[in-house]
Amino acid sequence: MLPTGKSTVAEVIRIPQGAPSLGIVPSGDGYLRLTQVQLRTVPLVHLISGVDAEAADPISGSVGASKSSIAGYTEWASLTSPALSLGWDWLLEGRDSELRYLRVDEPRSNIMLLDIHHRDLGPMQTSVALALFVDELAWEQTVAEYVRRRYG
Amino acid sequence: MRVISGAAARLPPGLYQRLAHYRYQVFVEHLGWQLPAQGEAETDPFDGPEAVYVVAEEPNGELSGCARLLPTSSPYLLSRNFPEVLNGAPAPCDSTIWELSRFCAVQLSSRKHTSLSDFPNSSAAMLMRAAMSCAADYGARRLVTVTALAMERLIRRLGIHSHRMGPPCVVNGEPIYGCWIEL
Repeated sequence: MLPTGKSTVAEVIRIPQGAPSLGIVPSGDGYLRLTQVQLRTVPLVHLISGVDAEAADPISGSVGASKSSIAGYTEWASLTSPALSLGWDWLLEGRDSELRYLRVDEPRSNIMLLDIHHRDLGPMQTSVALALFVDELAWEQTVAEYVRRRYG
Repeated sequence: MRVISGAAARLPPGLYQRLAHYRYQVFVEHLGWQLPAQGEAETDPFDGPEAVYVVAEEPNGELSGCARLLPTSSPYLLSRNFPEVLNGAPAPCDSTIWELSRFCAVQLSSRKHTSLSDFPNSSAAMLMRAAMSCAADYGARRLVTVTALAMERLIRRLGIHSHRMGPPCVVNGEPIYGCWIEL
C-alpha cells in the first residue's frame, strides 16, 4: 500500500514548521471538528494536483478513438497546525469549444462539520456541505495552471 | 478465492513462509519497494506475535492477496515510520484501534488489472472486507493505515466510512496519506 518501510519523504507537500495553530485539537477518532462558519474563516492553499494514470493513458485497441475528457485529483490544505485537508476529483470536460474543470464526487477530508449546537453533522451531511464549500472556491484556474505546468 | 486469517503460529503449516515469499514478489519485485528482505522473503520487525494475517488463496493454491493487522497498543508501522501523516496528532495507542498494513491483492500469474469502476466487486474489495471483519473479530473498532492516496478513492467506492488524518505527504514521488477506517 505504500512505497517503503521507512519514510524518505520528499516533502513536495509540506505544512511549514511553526505553522499557526488552527485552534482545534484532533478528536480521538481523528476528525477536526468545526462549524461551517469556522471553516469559511480558514484559507486553503493548493498543494498538488494530478491527472489519473488511467485517464492519461491513450485508449488501447480502439483505432481512431480519443479521450473526450481528462480526469484527475486535487489536494488543498490550510497552512495551520493541525491542517485541514480537502481533496477531490475533477473532470476536464470539453463542451462548446470550451474546457471546463468540474468537481466529481464528494471531497475527501479530515473534517467533521458541526451544527449550530456543536453536534456532528455526520459523515454524509459533512460530505455534502464540503462539496458545496468546494464549489464556492475558485479552484479551477489554480488546478488548470498547475496541471499545465506539470504535464505541459 | 478463500481467505485464511490468524497469527503466524496459527496459520496452516508453511503458509507464513509462502506469505513472506508472496510479499517479496509483490512489494519488492513487482512494486519495487525498498524493503528489507531475507532472501526471497519480505518480513519486517512488525511481523511479531501480535500480528494477524489475512491471506487470500486461489483454488490452485496460488496466493492472491494479503493484509497484516496489528493492534496500535503494540509497535506498528505508521507510528514508527510514517509519523508525518498524523498531522500533529499523537499516534493512536489503543487495543481497539488496529493498523492495516502490507495490503495487496495481486494474482501474480495473471496480473489482472482492476479498473476503478470494477473495484467494488474485485478480489481486492473482498480482501479489504475480510481484513475489516477479521480486525473486528479481534476487538478492533477502527483501523488506521498509511497508504497511497489513490487507495482513498477505492476505499470510498466500497462505501466504507473512512477519513484522512491530514494532508498527503509525498514518499518516493508518490502521495501517501494516513487513513482512519471505522468498523
